[in-house]
Amino acid sequence: MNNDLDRDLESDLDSDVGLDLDRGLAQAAARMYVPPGDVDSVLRRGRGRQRRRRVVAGALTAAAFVATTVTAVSLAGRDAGHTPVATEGQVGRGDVGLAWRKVAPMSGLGMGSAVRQGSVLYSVSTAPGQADVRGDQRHRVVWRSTDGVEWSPASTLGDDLYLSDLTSRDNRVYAVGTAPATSAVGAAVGGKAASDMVVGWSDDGGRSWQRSRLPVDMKAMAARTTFVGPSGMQVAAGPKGTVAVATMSARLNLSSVLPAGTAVPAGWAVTATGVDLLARTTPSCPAGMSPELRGDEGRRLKAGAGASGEETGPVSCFKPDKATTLLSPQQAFGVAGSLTWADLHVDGDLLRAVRRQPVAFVAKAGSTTFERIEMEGVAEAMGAPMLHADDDGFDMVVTSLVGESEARMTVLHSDDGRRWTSLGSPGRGSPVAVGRLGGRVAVVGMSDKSEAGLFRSDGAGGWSSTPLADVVEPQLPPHTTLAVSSADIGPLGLVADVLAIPTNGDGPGSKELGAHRLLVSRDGAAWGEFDVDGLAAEHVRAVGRVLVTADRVLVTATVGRADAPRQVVLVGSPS
Amino acid sequence: MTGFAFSATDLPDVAPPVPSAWAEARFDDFYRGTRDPVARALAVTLGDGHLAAEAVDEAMARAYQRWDQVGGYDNPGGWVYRVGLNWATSVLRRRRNAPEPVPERGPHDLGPIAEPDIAVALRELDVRQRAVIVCRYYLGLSEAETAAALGTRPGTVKSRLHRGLRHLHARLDHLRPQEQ
Repeated sequence: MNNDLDRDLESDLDSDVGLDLDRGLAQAAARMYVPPGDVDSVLRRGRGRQRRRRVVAGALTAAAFVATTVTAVSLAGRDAGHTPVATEGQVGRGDVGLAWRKVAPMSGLGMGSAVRQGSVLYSVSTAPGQADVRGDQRHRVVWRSTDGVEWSPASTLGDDLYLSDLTSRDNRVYAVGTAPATSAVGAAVGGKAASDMVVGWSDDGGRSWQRSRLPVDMKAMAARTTFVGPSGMQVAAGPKGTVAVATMSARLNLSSVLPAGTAVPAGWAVTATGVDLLARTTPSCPAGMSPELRGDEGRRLKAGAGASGEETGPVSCFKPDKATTLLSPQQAFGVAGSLTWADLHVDGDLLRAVRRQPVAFVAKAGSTTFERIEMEGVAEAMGAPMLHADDDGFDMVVTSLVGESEARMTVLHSDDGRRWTSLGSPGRGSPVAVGRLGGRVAVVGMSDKSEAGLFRSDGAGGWSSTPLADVVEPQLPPHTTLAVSSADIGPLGLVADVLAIPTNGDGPGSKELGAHRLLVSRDGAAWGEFDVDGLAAEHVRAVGRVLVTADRVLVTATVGRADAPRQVVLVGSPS
Repeated sequence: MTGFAFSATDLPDVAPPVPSAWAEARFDDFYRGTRDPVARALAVTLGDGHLAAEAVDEAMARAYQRWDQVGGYDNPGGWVYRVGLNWATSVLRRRRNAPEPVPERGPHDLGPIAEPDIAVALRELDVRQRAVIVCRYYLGLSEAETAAALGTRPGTVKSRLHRGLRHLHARLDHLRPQEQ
């Protein structure tokens, strides 16, 4: 009966009203302004979290079941390699000496990606440069501002250059990004061209750009991969020079590197030392578990595929009660043989790209000639390292894997951009901002327990932490966590936009959640807290960017109704 | 919780490893191909593009945490939609803000049936009915797929769809120009 009624109703909507719901909803969706996403920030957010961990009882059984196991997938929380981080004492409230005012820009910049401070501010953004945050997102534009509130376009970038990051120094603007491969460099493989990594510079305020290719042989790598390219690029300039860094990512085209006559009976998987050739295309699960589970509502859980000749990932095995054990591809499919990187003649930049190791480049102060830096000791990285430059040199935060299960931050320092030394690890998690606070290297980020924190180096390999949840008042209710959405560390100190979010979707809470708050500190000990709605004198829907310059703090916020959003800039000045 | 339903918190409780580089590359592909349509589906459902953007990225981060598992689902985009919707509605509850008020409409607003009327009429529905309509007519999922994505029973999908369509029909019929 209902089926007939539904069909009748759908028919009515189509014929009587002349309305196509599919098309109407598509039009409605297309007209809504949805801020663009950033896969790197999502990856950082995901890496910085650690779910509540309970070892599934069957995990060990699963590991024992598969006799051909060569690579274990961690199922329990491990603590190997963890750097002890002391909790910082002496945290309290204090006068941070900032007076705020709200400015409604006539030509505000939308949700741009990157800004670095100098005498003039620059940003690269897809937004239209209007106070109305809606608009055309098709073209990336370099924007220029003298006050951080009003922005004017300096140049519109064509399709032949995709900038990732900007920095400025001594009236020169530097940019890093990618450009389509030319006939001279790069190669189309499988219909997909490898992009070159490029550095650009402008000496006329961002209006015109010169560019050069960074010294990485993309063509050679493209010929032996199905995909290769940077997964993120950063650039920072200071009095000691300019450093650009990128993390390479590549998917090996195994058939192009296999020794002649080598058979690949099933899929394959990358290991630390090379490639394992898997034995079967059908996964095996421990007793009582299945690689596929079908529910009575159409949901089908299935293990990863093991197609012949394709790279294969971990697979899940399911119990009828939904309990799951994750198996490495070697556990699930068995191993027929192994090949080392030497067997495959995979080395140099290709090996770095397969391992997702960062590559870095440096130019002397005032120069546009970039040379490679060998980042010895930096293991596999996830996303682009985060860079900071000041009079003391350069600081870099690299997020990498510990084993196969943990994301861990490592901080490096260089006086000249060429020789880097490790400052140790602030712990597990992911960074949001890096800079200097009270003369110490400081990182703001999310810890492995999904807690926003400030981590500061003692300069000798030790780190201390300040959970930002300890700073906010009143105390957070149960089942909530404090997330940092945007932050910057600059000459006026640290400013972080934080947001309390429910951790279980239903946790009780007496404090209003979802409201943005700014935490400010000049030294990491005395903190000020500002309610963003209060500063804006209206409800703030989103905070897009926090920027700390030598003489002000700029916080870009979106206010107004969802269908009529407006931008305001909160300007904090020393009081 | 019904039958075979999943949410962000009731996934099988195995500690997931950080995805491998292999999985990360595939998640990257998934994000680039899925983020915009799911974000827009949430924007239509919630009537708030900014909240939708926050929700989809939150859900994507959770998907990434569990990518070795979520990536094996028949419809991982549906999972992201549902987790994002749950997260957004939870945030809205805690903000104690009512959904965006529906503008009052006067006789002068009545005109030819056009897209904004669909959006307005949709916002008058309960969010669960909206979600079913969006899954069926924007994301193009079948009833079974909608049930799987939303973690509910097909019968529930059917009844919500029925009520939602009936409301849309009445609302849009009211706005329909008089025949000449």
